Amino acid sequence: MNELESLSWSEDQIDALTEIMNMGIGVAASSLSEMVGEEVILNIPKIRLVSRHDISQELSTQCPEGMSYVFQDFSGTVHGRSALLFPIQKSFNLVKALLGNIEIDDELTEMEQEALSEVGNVILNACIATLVNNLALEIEVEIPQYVRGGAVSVLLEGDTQLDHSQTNLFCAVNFSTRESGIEGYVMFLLELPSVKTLKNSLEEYLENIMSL
Amino acid sequence: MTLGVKQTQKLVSWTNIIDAVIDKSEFGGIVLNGAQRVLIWNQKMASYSGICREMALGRRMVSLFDDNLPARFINSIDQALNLGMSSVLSYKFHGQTLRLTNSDGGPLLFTIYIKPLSLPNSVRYCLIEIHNMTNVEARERRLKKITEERKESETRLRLLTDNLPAVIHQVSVSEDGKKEVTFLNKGVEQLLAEEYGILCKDPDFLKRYILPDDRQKFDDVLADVMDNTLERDIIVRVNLNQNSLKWIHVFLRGRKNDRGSVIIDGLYLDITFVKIGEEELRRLATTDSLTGIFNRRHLLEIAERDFAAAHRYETPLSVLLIDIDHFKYVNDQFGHDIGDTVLKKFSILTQDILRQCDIFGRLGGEEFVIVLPQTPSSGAFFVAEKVRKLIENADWAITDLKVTISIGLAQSLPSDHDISDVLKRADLAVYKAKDAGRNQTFIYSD
Repeated sequence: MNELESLSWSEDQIDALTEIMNMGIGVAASSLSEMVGEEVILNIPKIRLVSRHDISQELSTQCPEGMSYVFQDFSGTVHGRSALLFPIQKSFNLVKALLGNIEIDDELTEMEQEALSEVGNVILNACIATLVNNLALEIEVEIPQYVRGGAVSVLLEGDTQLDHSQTNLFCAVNFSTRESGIEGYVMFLLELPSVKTLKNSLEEYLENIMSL
Repeated sequence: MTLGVKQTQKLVSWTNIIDAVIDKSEFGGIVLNGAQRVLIWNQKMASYSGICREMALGRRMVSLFDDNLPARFINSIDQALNLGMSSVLSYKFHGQTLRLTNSDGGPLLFTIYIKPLSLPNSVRYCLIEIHNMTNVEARERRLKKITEERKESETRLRLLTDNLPAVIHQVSVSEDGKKEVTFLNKGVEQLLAEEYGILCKDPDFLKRYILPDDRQKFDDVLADVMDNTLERDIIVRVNLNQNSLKWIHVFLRGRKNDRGSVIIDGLYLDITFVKIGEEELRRLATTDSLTGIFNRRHLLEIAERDFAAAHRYETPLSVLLIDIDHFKYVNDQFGHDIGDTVLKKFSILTQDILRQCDIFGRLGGEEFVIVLPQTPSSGAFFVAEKVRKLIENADWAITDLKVTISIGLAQSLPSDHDISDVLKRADLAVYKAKDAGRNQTFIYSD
C-alpha cells in the first residue's frame, strides 16, 4: 500500500472536495457565459483521487493521439500543477462553440490558442479560487500555457517542480458542456506534503461547517 | 527610518532605471497597488489607451476606463491581488468591450496577462501586461492564406495532371541514398495498368517494367542524370502484365535542392503509337504492297550490302532471277485477280523454304530475285530447283491453272563492281532458260 492510499480519505472529505469543485465549475460557467454572451452550461463534475501513474495510463489509452491542454502551475502552502485537458479534436469544438462559427482547420492560430488558454484559465482559476477561498490556502498561480496534442505523460511528469519519487494526488474533475457535448478533465497534481496540507485544510473546513 | 542623501540618490536612480526598462518593454505595462491604484503606467500603455501617465497614476482602472472595462478584467485584478492568481484575457473574447488602439489608429489585437506580484514584505501588487498581437495575427492570416492558396493550386495541379496522358514523377534522393516519391500523377495507372497506390510506394517502379535489354541503358542514363544533375531523355520498352509491349519516352532531369538532396523530375510519355506508326511507315517503304516481300528499291539496297560483304570477304554469293512463265497469259485467261493471287501465293511458298539470311524480293511485274549469301552456284542451283519444283507441283485450286517459273542463276565474280553486274548475268541466264522451253533453271556461263 502506498502512502497516498494510506492517507485514507473519508467520504466526507471527498464530498467536501466535490462540493468545492462544484462551486468552482459553477463560477466558471457563469464567467464563460458572460464572456461569450450566451449561456454556457457545465455539468456537475465527478471527482476521483487517483495516482499520477494510473491517470497517465488511463488517458494514454483513452486518447492515444494525445490531448490538448491548458495548464497553470501554482506554489505556496500547496504547490503543484492544475490543468484542463481535452482530446485534441474536442479542443477545436470548444473554441468553435465559444467563439461562434469561425473557420478552424487542423491548426489553431496563436490568437485562437490564446482564446483557448483563456477558457482554460477561467475554468481553472474558478476551481482554484474556490479552493483557496474555502480552505484558506496561500498560493500564487502562474499564467496559463496551452499545449496542443501533447502526450499526457509530458504534462504529468514533464517540467513540474514536483518530486517524482513521491506519489502525487491526482484529482480529476470530469466535466462537460451540455450543448456541444465537449468533455474535458480538470486535474490537480500535488505532491505528498501538499496533499497532506490539502487534507488537513479539508478537515478544518468540515469542522467549521459542522460547528455552525 | 530616514534615508541618507546617498541612499536617496541610489533609490532615485533605480526608480529611473525601472521606469526606463518598463517603458522599453514590448507590452503595455501597468502595476497596481493593493488598493488597485495605478503605480506604473508605461509609454506603450499610454499609446494603447490614449491616457497619459500623469493622468493615470494614482487612479483606479475602473475610473480610467469608465464602464468599458470587462467584468472579467476587474475580477482578474481582484483575484491577482487577493488570491495570487494569474489570468489571461484574449482579444477574441474581450476585443469588443475593451477598446484599445494600435499605433496606426486601428483596433489593438491584444492578449492581456494579469499577474500577482508578491513582494517579500507580504505586500501584493498586480502587474498587467498588454501584448500587441496585431503583427502575429497578420502574419498568421498571411500564412493561412498562403497555405490555402498552395492547397488550391495543388488541387488544380492534381486535377490537371491526373487527366494528362503522361506520367509526371518526382523522386527525392537524400544524401544517404534514401529515395522517396514526392509526386506522381494518376496518369501512371493508364500507362502501366497498375494501381496508383502500389506504384506510388516504389520510387523505382519504372525499372521493374523495363525490358531486360533496355535496363542497362536506362540505369546509365539515370546515374548520369543523378550524378551530374543534367537533363537527358531515353526511349525504353516496358513489358506489361498481359505481355503487351509499350514504348516510353522518358525525360529525366536531376537537380539539387537546398538540403543536399537530389530531385529527379521525370516525364514519361507513351509513344507506342508513334513507334507503331514508324514501324508501319518503314514496312510500307521497304515492302511490296501486293506480296509483302521486299520491294525493288529495298531489295537492291540490301542485295548491294550483301554483295559488298561477299566481295570484301571473298565469299561466294549467288543470285536467282525468277520469271513466272506465261504470266501475261494467266492474266488474260483468268483475270488480274487470279494473276495477283498467283504472285502472292508464289511469294508465300518461296519465302517458306528460304533461309533467314536469304533475300527475297519483287523486282517488278512477274520478276523476282533471290540473293543467296555464302552460297556458290552449285548450292544455289539446288535451291533454285527446289523452288521451281515447288511451284510446278503447287495446287493453285483453280481449274486448268498451271504455273511454272524460269530461273536464271549467276554467281558473283571478283571482277564485278556491284550487284547489277551479277543481276545482268542472271538476266541473261533467264533468257536462256526461256529459250530452252521454260520451267527450268539455267546457270550463267560465258
